[in-house]
Amino acid sequence: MIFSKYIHNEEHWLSRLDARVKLVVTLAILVMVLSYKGSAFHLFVTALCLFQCWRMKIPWRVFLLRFSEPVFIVLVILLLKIFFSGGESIFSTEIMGIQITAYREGLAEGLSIASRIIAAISIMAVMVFSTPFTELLAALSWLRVPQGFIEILMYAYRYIFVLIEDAGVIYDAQKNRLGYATLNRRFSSIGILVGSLILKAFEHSQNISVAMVQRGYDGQIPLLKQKPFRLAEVVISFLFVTMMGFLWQI
Amino acid sequence: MNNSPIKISLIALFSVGALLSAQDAYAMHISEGILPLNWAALWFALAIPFVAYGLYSLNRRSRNDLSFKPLAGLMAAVVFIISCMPIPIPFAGTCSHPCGTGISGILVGPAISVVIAAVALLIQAIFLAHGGLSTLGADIVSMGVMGSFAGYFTFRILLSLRMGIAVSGFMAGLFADWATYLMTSVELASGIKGGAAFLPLFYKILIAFIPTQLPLGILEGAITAGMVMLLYKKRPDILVKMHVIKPGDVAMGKQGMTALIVAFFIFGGALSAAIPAEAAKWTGVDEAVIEKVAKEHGREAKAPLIDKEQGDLLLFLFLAAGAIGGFAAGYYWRALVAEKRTRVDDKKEAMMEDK
Amino acid sequence: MADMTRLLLKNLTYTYPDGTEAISGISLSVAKAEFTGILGYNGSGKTTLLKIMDGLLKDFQGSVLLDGVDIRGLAPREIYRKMGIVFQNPNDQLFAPTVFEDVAFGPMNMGFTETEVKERVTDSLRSVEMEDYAKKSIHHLSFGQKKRICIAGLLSMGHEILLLDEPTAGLDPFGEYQMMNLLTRLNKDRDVTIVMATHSVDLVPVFLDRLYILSKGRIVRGGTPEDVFTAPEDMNQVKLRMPHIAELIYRLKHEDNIPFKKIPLTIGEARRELIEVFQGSKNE
Repeated sequence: MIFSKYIHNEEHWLSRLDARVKLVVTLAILVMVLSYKGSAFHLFVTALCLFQCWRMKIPWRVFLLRFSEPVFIVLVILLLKIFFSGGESIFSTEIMGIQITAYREGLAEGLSIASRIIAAISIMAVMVFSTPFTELLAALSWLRVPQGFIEILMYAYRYIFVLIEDAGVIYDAQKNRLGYATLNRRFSSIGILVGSLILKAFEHSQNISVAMVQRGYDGQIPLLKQKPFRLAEVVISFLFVTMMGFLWQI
Repeated sequence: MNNSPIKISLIALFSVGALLSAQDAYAMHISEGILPLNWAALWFALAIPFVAYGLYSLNRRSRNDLSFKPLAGLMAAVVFIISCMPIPIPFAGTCSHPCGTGISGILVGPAISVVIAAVALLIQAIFLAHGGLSTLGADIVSMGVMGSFAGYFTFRILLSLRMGIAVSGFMAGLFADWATYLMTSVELASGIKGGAAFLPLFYKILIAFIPTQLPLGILEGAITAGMVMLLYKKRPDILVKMHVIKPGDVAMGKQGMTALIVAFFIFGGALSAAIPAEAAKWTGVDEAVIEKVAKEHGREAKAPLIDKEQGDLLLFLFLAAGAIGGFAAGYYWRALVAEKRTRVDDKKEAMMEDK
Repeated sequence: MADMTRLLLKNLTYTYPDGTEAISGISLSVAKAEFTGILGYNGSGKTTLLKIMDGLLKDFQGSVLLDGVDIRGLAPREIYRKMGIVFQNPNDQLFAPTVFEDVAFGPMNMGFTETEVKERVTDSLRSVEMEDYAKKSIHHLSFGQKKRICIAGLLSMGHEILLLDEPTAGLDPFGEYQMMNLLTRLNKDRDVTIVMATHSVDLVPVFLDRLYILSKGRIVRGGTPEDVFTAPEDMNQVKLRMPHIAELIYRLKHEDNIPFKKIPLTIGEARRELIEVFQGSKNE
């Protein structure tokens, strides 16, 4: 499962940073990246983030998996833009009676979008690779994401692992009895697999709520108080964001 | 000299085709950074009221039933797993994934299903970089809102027409999938159009997704139907408890099936008769109107960006290349995802766990 | 002795909503700091019985008295301050992403301050020997470790009575042994009253003070392990068996007429008995 490949480096200095600070900085830079017209700022952000990823010693496979989908999309968009937008043509050719023209404007726009995507993905990657999910949850709740949403995120995160295990058992059982031998059977097997997962979800949710009620659950999970901010972190992060803002301006 | 551009474009053509179909594997999600700030914000603004209402009704329902919030969380986990499930698409040769929001829409109602989708999407964005933080709003609108509402209402309407739960489930899954796909295309086209016109790009994206999304919709329908039937057979009490069926609604399976088959033929026949007639009636009308309006505003119609005939041909070629390239890409894609486990890995993991 | 009784069940009967009888006419008492076992085959009604004792199922006939008060008259908070149940599947009990958050859930619901919560969590994690795992994700733990965390989650609320449903099920032999050792330690050192449902006959005699055998929803036998394990035939009737060592000695005594004084239930007792018999025959 790809999911278990989610890791973070505990030794890197970014991991010791307060998750709230990291989240705010990430969001700020994300906004800058999304609103920047051109490519220079994007390339700078990408370089910075990739360097940090390299310093965090993220295994190349994990890294590749994370970047593979966006990179595909980038290429598709680039090609769509180059060949299907209008403007001044760079070159034009004919293959098998079909006129193919590449356009300069399309190329420029495509490159701008491509660099934007890569930069946004990189900054997210740095944050995710340096932050455990639970800290991220706490940071989100500090950002005033509603408590109900956080609770559901928490259950979902916890039970993805349990349900994946359940799904694996059902899948193996089906496969052993040739549930995936033909296309038809495959579809019906997947339907049953999904149905069984939902049944499991019901069962688990009943049992958890019983177990939680006997530990005093009354409809809301009490959240731990956040640690106070460390002043140095906040100041340095603020300076960093200001600097990035300055770079974004030019 | 004249040789090299041809070569380049040929390579480009084939790689676009291959990439298109490989990328289709994640067609439902709009990747991080695709949307510029204003579009991202717009979709967020659209999504937030739905999520807020969903949270409101979730809190209301969990007051009476303490197991409801855990249930919503587990449903989110199920939706997450469903939309990570690679499912082979026979026509395109790639693997794609269903979106699963139709299923949750049927079970817990569209409002709460939006919250569930939002949670699943956020986890996907964080862990797998499918979708992203900035595009979360857009993804919630397409997968959460469109998928859940289309699935829910299709199911309800068909059920009230006494179509039987299997049929209703099938159509719900189908429409949930297609509605999502339509919305995703709108978002994608508006997000990347830049200075270009919206509609041509929208059509291109729409057409580019057809080879995977059409069969995928049917597949999602089949899965949804299978899921509903399983619940119906094994635990009808759950369906009653979730207000999916009423206690009286038993023995609706078989009748509905025949009703569907009849309805399907009638519908199909009517459609095939109606479309050409309708198309013939209206051909040129909108084009003429738009041209007129445009002229009034002092904008002469430009020549089409791509000559229509050639553009279509090109797109067709893209699709063909996609089908071929998809096999290759899809095949090697697995090599990356399904990692070969070695003993060293196992040991490493064991050590990690010990820590 | 009467004032030491913590749990008293009188003539308890419970019928499932579909009409089948789960348990009927059960009466038993659990004294303070006693380690009680409820032994029965799968489906004999053990889990239902534990759930009733914990106040999770309310529509039963008869009465359950917790420290002399009927639990139907107690608010859930009052019950759950004293008593908690550990379910068979730890995945149904641990809902939080990390160990600390899960164990802290109970005390936080009870309204303790942050520092008190932390103290309680560390303390209860120490008593299940999991203090190094506070920051771990639950899904990284093994099955046995998850079970320990379940127990810690209840201990952190200051529970004096633990109800355990199949605490050793799904564990390997060494894990079973560790779990039983842990429970005994809680029982002896912290005076935790433990009621445990199980079907593993070999472990029972070594650790338990008192034992009830449940069959078809009724208690067919009760008493110390020596009172209960008397003859293999009786045990087979209730779909259980004697501990292997006891059955061996029983057959030697009754079928081969070797003069054992009593039927030992543990390896240690059996060893002593055997040595005595050998020395007896040497002396003759």
